Amino acid sequence: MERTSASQFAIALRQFRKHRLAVWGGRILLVLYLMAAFAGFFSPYDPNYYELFPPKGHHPPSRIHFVDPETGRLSRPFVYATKRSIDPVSLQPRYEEDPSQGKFYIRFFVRTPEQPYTIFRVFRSDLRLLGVDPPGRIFLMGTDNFGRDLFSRVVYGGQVSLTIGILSALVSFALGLLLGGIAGYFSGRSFRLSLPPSAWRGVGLLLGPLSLLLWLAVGGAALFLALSFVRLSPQDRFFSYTTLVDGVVLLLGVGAVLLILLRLFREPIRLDPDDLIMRTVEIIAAIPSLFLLISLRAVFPTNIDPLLTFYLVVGLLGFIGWGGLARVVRGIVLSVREMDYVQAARALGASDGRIIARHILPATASYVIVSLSLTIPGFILGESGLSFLGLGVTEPYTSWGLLLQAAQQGGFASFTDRPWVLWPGFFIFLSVLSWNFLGDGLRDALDPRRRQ
Amino acid sequence: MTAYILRRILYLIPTFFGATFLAFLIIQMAPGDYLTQLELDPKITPETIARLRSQFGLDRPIYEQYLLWMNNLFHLNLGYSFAYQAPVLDVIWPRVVNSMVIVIPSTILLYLVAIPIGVYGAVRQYSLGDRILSFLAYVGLSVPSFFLALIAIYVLLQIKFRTGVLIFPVSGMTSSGFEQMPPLKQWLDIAWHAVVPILVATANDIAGLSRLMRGQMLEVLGQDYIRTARAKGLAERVVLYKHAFRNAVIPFVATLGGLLPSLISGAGFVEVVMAWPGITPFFLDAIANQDLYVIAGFLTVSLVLLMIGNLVSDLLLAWVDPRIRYE
Repeated sequence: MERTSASQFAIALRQFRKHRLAVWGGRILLVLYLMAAFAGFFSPYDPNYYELFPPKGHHPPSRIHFVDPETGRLSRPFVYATKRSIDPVSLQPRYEEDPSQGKFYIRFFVRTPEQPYTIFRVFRSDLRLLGVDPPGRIFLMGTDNFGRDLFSRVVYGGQVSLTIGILSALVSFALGLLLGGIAGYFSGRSFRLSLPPSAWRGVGLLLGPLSLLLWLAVGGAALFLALSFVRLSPQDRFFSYTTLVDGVVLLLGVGAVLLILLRLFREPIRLDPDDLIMRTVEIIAAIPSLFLLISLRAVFPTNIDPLLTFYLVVGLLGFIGWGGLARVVRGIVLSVREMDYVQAARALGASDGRIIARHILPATASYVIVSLSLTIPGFILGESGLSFLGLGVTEPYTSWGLLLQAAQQGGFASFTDRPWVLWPGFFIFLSVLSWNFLGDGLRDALDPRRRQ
Repeated sequence: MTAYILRRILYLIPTFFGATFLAFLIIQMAPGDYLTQLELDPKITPETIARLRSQFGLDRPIYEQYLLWMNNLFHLNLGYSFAYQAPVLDVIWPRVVNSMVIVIPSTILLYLVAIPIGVYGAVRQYSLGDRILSFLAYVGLSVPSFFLALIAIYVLLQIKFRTGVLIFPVSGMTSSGFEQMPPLKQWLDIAWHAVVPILVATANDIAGLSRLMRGQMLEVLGQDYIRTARAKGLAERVVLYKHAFRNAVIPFVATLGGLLPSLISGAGFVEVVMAWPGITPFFLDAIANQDLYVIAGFLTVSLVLLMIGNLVSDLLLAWVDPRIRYE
């Protein structure tokens, strides 16, 4: 009997299939992403459509009837039209079914010429998965305060919530891979940032004085800051703690200048990119991420173009997230760099670029795939949190976080009386859970040590 | 070792200046300042605004503001809150204490729950209990905390509507009439209010910690000395808790230092949703008001705590694990 050896991919696939939850997570995500991609088809109404008369604000989910009350037998599912009245005590609208207007059967693949939509902004259509004949309305998850169909809004909100997760993950991965890779690969191979006069030959004749000037400027700035510090400090008594602090700061400033001058003329000033990048990561990690996110968001005005806000949120989330990844990638690259096959490639005369692209990046691939799928849910949560605080995406775009913010805006009564407004939260939960399971399954599948 | 500690402390200096300057820059980059909102008020004359601006030092260049602020910082003065007209520390501290009422019990609860779950998951790998517990942990991880808080509020209020009994309060930190209560009752009242926020705040983090514990434990259980211990005929209990567990918790020692800054950084969204007067809603207000020194002061304090925390974790790690050496 002939036995063919399984490819790496086939092994990983088989292992992945064993993880039942991961497979289910993948399926759920497929459905959610399809719904978001073909939002117009899956939503019964335009997400921004509402009727002024009769108003349909805070309409509960429509009851779908399967039994015909006249015959008492099963029938095609239908809904009744509703009649609106105002509750005399709470002054909230109440809706009662009104069988006198007849039954409105749920129909599939209906056309709504008055509410066309586009798919991917290219294909125009008005075909929708389900709907009822007007004037009947079907609200699978009720309506919001304007009377807009919540289910349609959830479907459209998924477009933002689900893509922001992926886009921010890509941004943070681009940053993390690039900077982590540079830090790891060039660690210990520091750049020269100045030329001592002894090396002023050739190109150095031009760059040398330039670097000299640059460093003199840096030293001058340090001295200036130290002097300003002393100038600004309150002058109370002749000698006190204040004078001591001033003295130390002045000493630090003068010391920095002397150090720069000393180094400048003796040997080149060197900067290890590893140090620079890892210090930056440390600084970003030092500020609590929720507060950093909010503070950064406050830098930009809240009333800018909604599309710009969308990209802003993507950029901010990506910027917050790259540090941890860069740290791990740096670690991987540092160890791979010393492997025999990389040394061999270097001995054969391969360039840095080729070594990075052909030998080092592939080594990080399985880690990257896994952590990509495990960071996406974090970004989905981050976006929903930011939108929940009203700092994320803005109308006319909507996201699950924003919908949930609207749900609790009117105080507790707004969602204890109308629990259907909590639906968007379940979608956040479902998508994040599915991504987590998918990532978990991928980790088991791609890591040989975790295979069963 | 001393050289290592000294070097670590030296490295902290540029990080400290870098991070504070970054924080300061971010706040200053936001359009306008605290007084911009007052300018819209017709009752306040432009002269008053100008006077206030020079009084707060807001008319100076950014680097001067930073240096002045730094100068005050060296005198342990975090600056002055515009919105509250009081020193920053006096404004922040009560809010931080309020947050700690949630954060400290929730952290303890987290470790008490997550570590046993992780150990159980490793010892009974792939058993039904392991699957159920890790599924639940993932559910906790995946629920946005604000959504969980909303659900908790909804359930509690529904129970109240049905039975008339409010099991736990859904918002705030104190009941009405708190001032008139005897001290013990005040404590109980706060504790009663804190139960739901503590549970909600804990739910998110259980998965991460218990998965880490499970992975660590599995790795240790696979090592040769465990087999040796079993071969010697030691009781399974001794093998697990004396040989395996003690080595598996070592990485957690490293996370202890990280708890220091999280003590003051609040419980996050739970505080916002459940109207807990903690640091998170306070910080959001400060950002909205552009209360410069409150933001900068708070970020600085958490920064310093984070640095101390990281240092402490490394030292603890070196103390607990003799295999780690520093040159």
